[in-house]
Amino acid sequence: MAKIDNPTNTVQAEVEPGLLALRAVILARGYGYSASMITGTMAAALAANASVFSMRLDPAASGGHAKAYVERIRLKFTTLVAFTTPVTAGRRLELYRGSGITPSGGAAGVVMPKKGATDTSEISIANGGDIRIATTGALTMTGGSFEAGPIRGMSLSHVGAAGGFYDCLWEFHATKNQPIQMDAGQVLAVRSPVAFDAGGTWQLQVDVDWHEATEATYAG
Amino acid sequence: MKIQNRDGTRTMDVEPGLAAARYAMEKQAGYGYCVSGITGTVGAMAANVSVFALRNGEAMQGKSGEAAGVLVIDRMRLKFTGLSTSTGLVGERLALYRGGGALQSGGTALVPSPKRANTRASAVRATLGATANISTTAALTVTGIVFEAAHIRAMMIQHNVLAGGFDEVIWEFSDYENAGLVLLPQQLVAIRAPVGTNANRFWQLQVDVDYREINRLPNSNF
Repeated sequence: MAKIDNPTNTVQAEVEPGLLALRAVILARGYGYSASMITGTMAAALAANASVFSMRLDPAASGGHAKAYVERIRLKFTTLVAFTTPVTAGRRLELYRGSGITPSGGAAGVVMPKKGATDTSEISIANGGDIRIATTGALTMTGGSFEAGPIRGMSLSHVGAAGGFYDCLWEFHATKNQPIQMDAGQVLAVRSPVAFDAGGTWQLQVDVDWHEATEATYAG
Repeated sequence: MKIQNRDGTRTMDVEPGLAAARYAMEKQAGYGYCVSGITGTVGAMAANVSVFALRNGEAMQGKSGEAAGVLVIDRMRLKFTGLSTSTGLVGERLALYRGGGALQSGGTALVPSPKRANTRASAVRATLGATANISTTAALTVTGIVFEAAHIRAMMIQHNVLAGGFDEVIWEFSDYENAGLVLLPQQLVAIRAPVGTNANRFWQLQVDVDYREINRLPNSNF
């Protein structure tokens, strides 16, 4: 009867009594990272298609960091000063992927490795990537282009009064579906498909979880 | 017995203490996509109209030796916003139905995004006679579509009667938690209003969908 050994033959996998199922532990693939950032007081009248958060994988990313797999983005939106029309149809933020884009402006972000203190992420500015969030105005996104369709949306029609708050989770986790894959040089950005009106100021917090790994060559 | 990779350079480890085989799951089977859209300001709806639809454009018969692919919906997230103060009607709701027989039209055509930019184009595309559509201000055209009798999921809106009222639901079908919602070739899902909505109700709906497209195995019933 075959038994599953570890590489040095010191531990064997156990079959669970009662269930007669192989015991297994799930380990996160690749190298795990997170980042948490918040805008300043965003000025009123954000233009259409402005970017307020972006992360870019190092164009030279390779090996064990060749791809970034974004598993979860959580956004928390707060209205600070009421919009001129508090309930406005179509007001929203959306997530887009793009390529060939160089982001700048705003505040640079810090990547936190899930394990250990050494920042090995290819999203980190120090390692050739980029991650940033707006302070009071839109980020500058130079060159390249975004894909036509949004990946996710965050409807903000209902949170136009001062103190209005909405917590939105964009979940891509592998066990639920598939993470968003970023290739070297690709950008993910939170953008405003429509202009915001001239009255409202607001704040956005963004939390992101992702891992970096080689491409799953043998995956279906 | 040791489990190794293809060239024998790595051997699967066993977690000490737990005596459990280690594995790392990267993703579920198939090609992953998502699509996101939002209505315009929608007015009163007649019973059984559709405001969102997504259709699997795969041909009924695949290439020689292959079976046509299925589309598996893992998750739908709906965000409903009331844009006017209205009089709620008992039973006002939006519900998910599956159907087939024709292609929906009207509203705004949506563009699916592949989870991997370099993957194949989704079967939800116009060149395959399939699209995803969401209403702008009125119902989609669903002429010729026959829906199954029972709805799959529902979102109550009868309580959401104030301007600025908001509700968010997740319709979760993930294989990991239960079973994905399968669309065979040429089938579609639609979000419909089983009962009419009140004449003074104006509203907006945002829809996010995660789905995968999987090649069916010959001789399987998947």
